[in-house]
Amino acid sequence: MNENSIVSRAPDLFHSYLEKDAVMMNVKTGHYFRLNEVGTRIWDLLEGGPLGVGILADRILPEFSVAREQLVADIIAFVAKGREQGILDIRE
Amino acid sequence: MGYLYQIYGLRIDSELPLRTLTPESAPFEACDLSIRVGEAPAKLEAPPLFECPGLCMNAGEFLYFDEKLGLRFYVRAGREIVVDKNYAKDTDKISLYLLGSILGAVLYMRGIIPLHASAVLTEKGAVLIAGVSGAGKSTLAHALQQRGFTALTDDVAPVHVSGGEVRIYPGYGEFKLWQDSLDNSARQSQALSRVRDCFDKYYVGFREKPEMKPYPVRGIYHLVPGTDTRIRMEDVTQAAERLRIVNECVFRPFYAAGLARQKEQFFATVGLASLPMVTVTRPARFDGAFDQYVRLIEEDLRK
Repeated sequence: MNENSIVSRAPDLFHSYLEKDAVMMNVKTGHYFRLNEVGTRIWDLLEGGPLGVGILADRILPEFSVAREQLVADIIAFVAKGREQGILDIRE
Repeated sequence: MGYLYQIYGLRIDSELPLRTLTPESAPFEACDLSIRVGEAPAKLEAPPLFECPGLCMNAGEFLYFDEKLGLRFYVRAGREIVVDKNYAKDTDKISLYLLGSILGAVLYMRGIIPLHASAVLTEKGAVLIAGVSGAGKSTLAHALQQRGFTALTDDVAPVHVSGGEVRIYPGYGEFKLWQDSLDNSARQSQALSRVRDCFDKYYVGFREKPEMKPYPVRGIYHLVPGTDTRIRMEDVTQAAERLRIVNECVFRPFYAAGLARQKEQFFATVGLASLPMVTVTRPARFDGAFDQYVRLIEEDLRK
């Protein structure tokens, strides 16, 4: 996975918000997930459809005091975990 | 015309009398659920989404049978229950199943999620008293009724979320209490009817019948039996913890997948987890501290 990988929300999910954090349920497994602040921000950005990792980083960068390189690495780690849990899809 | 009842927001027209429910005197304009005696099918028309011995279901059908006990129920679309005519003999026993496992399925089918909880009405809305079996939900709700609160439901609270508001429907107007909780509240049990043979549980009627409408929920008590003599009340500040607790209290959670109502279950549990929650650890034994316990809760409710 790299900056050009395309990320989207997985199908078969319900999602809502608990306080300010996105929560979702994988329909197939019945498991619940709750995202932290950055995760929720990424989730919200994916509302309109799939986006590249680089674009996600560009959008989020001004909101957090973090180096872009670090942010990209964090997004990739988050997306990989999201795919593992069945809440995100990735197209290389 | 059969017997007319109202429970959990449903107007019911039943060919069988339902134990513990008080029949309505005036006819309904329309009914939500009919219960009739007939031929319950031996299997579902559509493929099951969940199946185990004695139970199978899909989005529009639910079949429950116990040949040993002589029971067979079929539910269609949350609107009709068929009690098989070969099994419709012991109406007391049938009522217990109808009001538990079967009505639970009807609620799910209608997108209403039943929670293991009792509830009382306060000036600021309904308060749920949730917890595992034996945590003391009925005992506390009953004691709060003695102190002037209106009881809304006992044991099962059907939850519906719409427009971001969490509401519950009132239940059928009786508490199921254990003998020791009756002792705590000093009520005589001879005149009360027993819930099931071999169980020391009794029915006690609500003082007043709550108005049959949905009530907005303002908060949740999560009741936990303690291991010592102390009474503790702690706010559950972590949303994830509230969500975990709410999920533990869902009535027959596997019905949601079997009846294809996971979406409603999800929004109900997230809605409930958004509400203020207090974990109440009650003493393992009250030893005379029961009044103090109820008074603490009462003060909290009147805040």
